[in-house]
Amino acid sequence: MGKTFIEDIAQRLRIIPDLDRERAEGASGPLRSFPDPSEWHDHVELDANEWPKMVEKRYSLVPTTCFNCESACGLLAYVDKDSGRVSKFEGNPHHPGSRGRNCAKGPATINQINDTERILHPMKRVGPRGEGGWEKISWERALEEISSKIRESLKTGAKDRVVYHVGRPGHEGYTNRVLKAWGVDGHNSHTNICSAGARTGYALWHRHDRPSPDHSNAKVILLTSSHLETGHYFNPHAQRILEGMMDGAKLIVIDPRLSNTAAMADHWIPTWPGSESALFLTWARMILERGLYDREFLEKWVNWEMWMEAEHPDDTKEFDRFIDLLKEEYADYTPEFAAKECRIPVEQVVEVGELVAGAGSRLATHVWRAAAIGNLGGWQVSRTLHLLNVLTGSVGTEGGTSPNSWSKYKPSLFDIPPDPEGWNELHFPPEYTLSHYEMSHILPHLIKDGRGSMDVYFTRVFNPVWTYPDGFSWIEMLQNEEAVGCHVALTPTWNETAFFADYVLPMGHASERHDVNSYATSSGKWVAFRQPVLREFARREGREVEFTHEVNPGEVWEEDEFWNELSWRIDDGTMGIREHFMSPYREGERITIDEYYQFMFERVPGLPEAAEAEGIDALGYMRKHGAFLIEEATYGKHEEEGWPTPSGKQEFYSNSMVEFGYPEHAIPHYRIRSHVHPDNLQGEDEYCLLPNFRLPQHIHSRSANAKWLAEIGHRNPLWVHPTDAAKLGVGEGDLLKVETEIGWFIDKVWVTEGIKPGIIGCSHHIGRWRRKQDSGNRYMTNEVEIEDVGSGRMRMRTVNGVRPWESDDPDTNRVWWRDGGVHQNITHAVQPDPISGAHCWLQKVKITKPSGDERYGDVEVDTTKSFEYYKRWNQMAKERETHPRGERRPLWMNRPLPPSKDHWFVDLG
Amino acid sequence: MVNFGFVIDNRTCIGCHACTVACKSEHDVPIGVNRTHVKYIEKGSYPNSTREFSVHRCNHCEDSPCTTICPTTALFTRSDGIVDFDDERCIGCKSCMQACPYDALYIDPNNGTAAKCNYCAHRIENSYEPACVIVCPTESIVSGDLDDPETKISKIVSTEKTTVRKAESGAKPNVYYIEGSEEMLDPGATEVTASGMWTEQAFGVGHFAKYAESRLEGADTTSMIVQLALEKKAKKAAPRDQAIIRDVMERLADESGNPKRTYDQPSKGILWGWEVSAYIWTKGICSGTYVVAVLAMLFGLVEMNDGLWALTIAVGIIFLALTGLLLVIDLDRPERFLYVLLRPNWDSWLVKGAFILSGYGGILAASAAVLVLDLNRSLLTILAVAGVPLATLTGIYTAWLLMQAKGRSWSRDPLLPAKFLLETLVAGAAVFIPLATRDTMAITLGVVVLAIVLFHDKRLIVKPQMEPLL
Repeated sequence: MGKTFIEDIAQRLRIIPDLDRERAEGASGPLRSFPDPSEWHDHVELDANEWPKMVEKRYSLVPTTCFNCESACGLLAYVDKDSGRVSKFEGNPHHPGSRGRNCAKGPATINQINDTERILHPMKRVGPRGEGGWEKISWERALEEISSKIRESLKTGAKDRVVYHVGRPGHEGYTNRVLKAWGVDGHNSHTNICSAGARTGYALWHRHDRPSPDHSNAKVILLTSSHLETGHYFNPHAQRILEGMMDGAKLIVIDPRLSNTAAMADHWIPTWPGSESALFLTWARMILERGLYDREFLEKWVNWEMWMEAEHPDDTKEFDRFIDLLKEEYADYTPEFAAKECRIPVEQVVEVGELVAGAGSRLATHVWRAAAIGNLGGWQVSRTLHLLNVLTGSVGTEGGTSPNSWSKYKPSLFDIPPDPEGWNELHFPPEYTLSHYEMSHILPHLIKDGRGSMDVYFTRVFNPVWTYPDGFSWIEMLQNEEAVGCHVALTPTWNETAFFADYVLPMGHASERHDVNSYATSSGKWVAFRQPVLREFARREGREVEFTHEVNPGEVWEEDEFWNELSWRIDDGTMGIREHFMSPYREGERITIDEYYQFMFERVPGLPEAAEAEGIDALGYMRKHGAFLIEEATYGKHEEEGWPTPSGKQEFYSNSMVEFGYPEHAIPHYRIRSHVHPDNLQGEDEYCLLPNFRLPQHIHSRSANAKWLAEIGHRNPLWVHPTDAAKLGVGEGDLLKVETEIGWFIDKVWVTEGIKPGIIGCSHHIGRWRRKQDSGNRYMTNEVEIEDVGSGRMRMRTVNGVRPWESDDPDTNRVWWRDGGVHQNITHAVQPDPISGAHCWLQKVKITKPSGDERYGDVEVDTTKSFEYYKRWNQMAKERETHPRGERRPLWMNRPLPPSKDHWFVDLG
Repeated sequence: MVNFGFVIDNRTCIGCHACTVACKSEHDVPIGVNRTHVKYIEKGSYPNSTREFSVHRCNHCEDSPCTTICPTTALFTRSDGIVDFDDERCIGCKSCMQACPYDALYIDPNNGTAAKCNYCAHRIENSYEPACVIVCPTESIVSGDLDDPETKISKIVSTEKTTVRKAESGAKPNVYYIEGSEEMLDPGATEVTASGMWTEQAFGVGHFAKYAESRLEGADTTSMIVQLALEKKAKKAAPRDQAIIRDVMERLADESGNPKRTYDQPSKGILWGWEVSAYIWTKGICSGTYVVAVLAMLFGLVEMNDGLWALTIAVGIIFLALTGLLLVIDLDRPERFLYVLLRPNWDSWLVKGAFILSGYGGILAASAAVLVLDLNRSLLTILAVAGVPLATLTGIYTAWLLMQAKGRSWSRDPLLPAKFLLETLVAGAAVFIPLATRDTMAITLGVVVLAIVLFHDKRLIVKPQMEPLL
């Protein structure tokens, strides 16, 4: 911009400052996406905040992986070489899953690193547990006190009293190995509020319990999920779904609400929750009727003969006869039946059915959470969905759907301690014979029922008080020192569960820790390295760092080093634990974290060779590139490996179901009507509450510290269809009282055409809270008061919504929203599916207008009722409890941290 | 010549907000304001309803209204088509925000200066794509040289059907949309509701972020009613207010089948508030009084004695000083007010106006000097030869300034200069007649007229800012 003579004179006279700039040259060639890895330690970028002044900033770019959702997408940390701090995160172009791209949660990692409220020092409670008093303590003291408690417990010989309960693992087997070294059956997870329903359906077919659709090459993509906004693995899958669609694939999305994914679909099918199996079986029948099934695949790879043997012993064992019998078996699944069950037009059933039936081997399907975790019998959804893949022969094909384990690398560990000699009945109660996996959501009730207690309970990236149903029962359990002797929360940031801990130990965010990741994000197989980027930066600069906490902010540790140190201290030299923490490279010395990963990476197929080509070792390669592609595509593995089932085939017929007391479920059917099936609702006055959906830019309980994510979404109104709004006499913004089996909450109305009439939607991603005495996450937490009204009745009231506050970050004082949403999960009753063990998230609710002084955000729960209600659902499992040969669960089925085989049997005596 | 632009592919955009956050990260954009964001709308009736996403940002227009109106060339167009800015030149006058048809600018609360997408010019310098482009999971944002037939972007623009937002603005935008729907691209097509699906909509962040707590008071009335209705404060409202709220509620209910905005960037509220309204008023008085006085003298209606001259000049000087003061107060960087004169962008009516005001101020000062130094009174008449045109321009020039503020409805009013001339004369008469006659009726009339003019000025400035952008 040419400057005027006036400005020139004024600047010369120094009336105004001289703002003459070095002239920007603009691009010097075609634009590129990323610097070349050869420049990664010497990357120069112009400072965006100084622009148009051209101020150079020197960066070291260190790859790591994101730790917000489970996808572990690649990140490149921009470490400012002058300040030694991370400036920002971009994508890692060498990551085969995310390919340099990220969702909103990737770049927001920097918010979490710089969170002014993060926990920087170990904290120990002062006063009664849960009252909110804390003192800062040294790591030395924390480690000494916790290790002695564990030692004491282990020395009693108990195998189930030290427990590690994990929300988001983020690693491949690290802690499981530690637990085995301690000899405890002490692994608990969040699986049964998340994927248990879907896993059971898949496991019945082929033991592999998760699907890996090959979206990029599909002809038809059929989702009972919302993978264009959430889920495992959102960003990598979204990339490939769109790739497939741009290549001509049709997208079918089944969801009672208009998710962002449904909005992108060629066909949105808003089924009534739980009716999806009816639809899939109808389509299965269409495939059979039209002769569009893959005869070769079925005949060779499906155990149809077992079904014939068991249920049609007098028939000839011929494939054509099998097809005829199957048509008879499925004769009732007519389009009209599906339309009635799903409450959708029959034309849509047929039209979309034609599409699915014609997909052939290029049918990519997925069900994650959604219907499978929402409904009683939700596991039928994945079982019948996979039936479509089986019939079309699209299992393990290009453009089809493979088991996820084909694309997931299992790392080699330097030492494998023996399997635990015990069985934790708080995690795997005998009546849940087919559960996937631990019955984690009924833990407080099992304890209340006198089935056990715990000495030391670790919660790690896990917030059941808020994320789980019936949070007040969790609070009750955590406050009961008889039930939980010691509660240690491992977390980078405060959460509702950590408020009820004895120790809160700060652990690193994504770029402050080690983990190895491998997930089925596509047809390929890769391994990625989450590394503490400042440690790698120090190494590049020639400074050797012994422990990650030396470079982390405050006294933040990483779990890997914590577990090593803790394990070492637990063992007084007589317990045989230390022998599992010895270096595989240096005789008689303790293993280091570098050695742990060195050992692992040296054994990744192809990695040492790729490293050698660059003149570095395997660990060096992963430090440099952050990820490695092991196989381009993993199609058709069953041709070599077969199927890991008792029959070695795809189990259309499940003998295990018959043996374990569910003979009516021997083959895929729609035999269980959901607890929210219209027949189970009290007419028009009862609604189905659909809570289990997320926002694209949040993680359940770990993104409230990310200001850029919070400002895009911070409230969770009730989605109400206009006809329901008219019926209820409410308009947008009005308040409604939602009554569950055990309590109620009050929320605002959002009138939308994006929800099925009769269904009330409300995302359980929002509604975080803290009490007056608690800290953390103020971008998204309401300040609440909790009151014990007596006889098990608990009340929560929002005292203040989100408010701005003063801190070192001026943004905290600019928080412009006040609405922090409502915590609904705490009013949900636990509803354990007797077969899969999954919590059935959908709730039958009554909806009324609030009365008296009931206000927005009010919550009330009766924990006595919740225990009684649990008993009713628990009874369903107990009634059918069957242990063939004394087996606790089918011996061939997967179980995390499996104890030695002796313990897989109940005491029949 | 390089000509950078963007293609936004709505066939593949999944509304994930990654671009929004990557941009915030790249430029450390404060909360409450955005350089880019993803608007959501819902349309259609269940089960044929759908939701659309669309990335909105600076359109790097070829004829960018923001660079024309910017008084200090803080905003400028580079030779490669990028509309960039230099925050050290910016005085925080917010005229760019009134001029942009796309609501792409904001006042950065950290330093009180205008900011927007600058195509990551600092990355372009080293030939890297903008941060939003590389983060996008579905590669829905394409950057590159529109004039190079070999680039991906120019191939898309030449082979796919694309649209731009508000082509009628005449700004010649360089952001092209594939499958951009009318309801999505036109801000007037969807009702602005007080809250989004996942967000509580607030009023007036950005420029107003500094007023944090009191922000709601600064919000526009219509939306405040919506806000009240939505929050059900209606229960406590007076019957008349309740009736208004009910009307709003019914309107909202009627519109349930219409396209609905479910996410948008937070509203920036009223950018030019009472300071600007009052400035037009004081400016009308200071210039009008002088013009009316001289005209009255010329037409022989009044005999201008020293006393009347002194009053006229005093009113002129006082109200001109107030005018200047109000203009400076309105700046988010008031200490840089001299930049308007000393770093002038001659295309901007803000600059031309500043020189007109200065010239008129010089005439008034000289006239005062004639009286104070007791010089020949005929000098006053000689000064008026320049004084009357300058005073008249002082009164009118704001019309041309508003016409440069192309984002708002006032810019479409061809009668605006005439209206400002009329206002100048009316305001001048309202002050001068009582000065000249000392008649109680005339004084009362003058006060009433001035009040009406002030009210009119407030409406003129505030109301268009409550409407969707043009």
